[in-house]
Amino acid sequence: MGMQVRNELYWVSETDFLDSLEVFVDDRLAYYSRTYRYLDEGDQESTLMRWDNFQEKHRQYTYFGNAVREVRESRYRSKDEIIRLVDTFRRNIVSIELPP
Amino acid sequence: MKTVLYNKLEDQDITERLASYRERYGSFELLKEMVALDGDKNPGLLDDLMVWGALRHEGTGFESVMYYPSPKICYALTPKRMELLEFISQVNPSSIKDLAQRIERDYKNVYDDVGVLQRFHLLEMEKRGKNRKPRSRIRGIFIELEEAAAE
Repeated sequence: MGMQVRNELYWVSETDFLDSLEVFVDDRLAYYSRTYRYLDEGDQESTLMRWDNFQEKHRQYTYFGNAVREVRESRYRSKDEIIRLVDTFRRNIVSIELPP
Repeated sequence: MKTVLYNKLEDQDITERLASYRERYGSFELLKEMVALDGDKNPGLLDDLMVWGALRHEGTGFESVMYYPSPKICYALTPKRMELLEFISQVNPSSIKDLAQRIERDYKNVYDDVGVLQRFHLLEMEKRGKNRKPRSRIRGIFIELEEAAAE
């Protein structure tokens, strides 16, 4: 029991990956963030999307040039759901309206 | 084929990670203030705050796992680079130069290998004063072969 931190990296292609961070308190998921990043031609990392639940609020961030462009409320999306989303849409994910 | 790489932080790793947070942010309270001021623009700060907050509690466990759906990761894991990863875990070098000297390999080759390992998140460089210290992010590797679908 106690606290557990789990950091998982899912590579959906050779250059694109989802970085998932979860903090559990007594087996309860207290905090999560899921960040979709890619490596550009110079192998520099850029962020495209992010989801987290800071202060119990589910939020979705869209990035442009590594800077946050938009933050909006979201619902809880499981790690598997986000992996499916980023694997399906890849870098187009920033330009589409995600299914509810 | 799915390749899974895992790491479980030991007490020493956690102590070093806490030291690196202190070096980067000054104190936990300062980071909290930064998050309050700038958290929306720089949400990556939240992750450090949450991990730091958890690791301050004695007994917190930290696991990291990487999943590679493609066998191409195997190209990154040449025998020399595997040896480098193992050596880093064993001798805890203070910089790439120190690593090259201790493993008795050419600095440029070691530097290039470190770059490849870093690109695949197998290794991270931790800023320590003027130096950047290499640290392996993995302790084990599993390769899972996909079975043929049942007819």
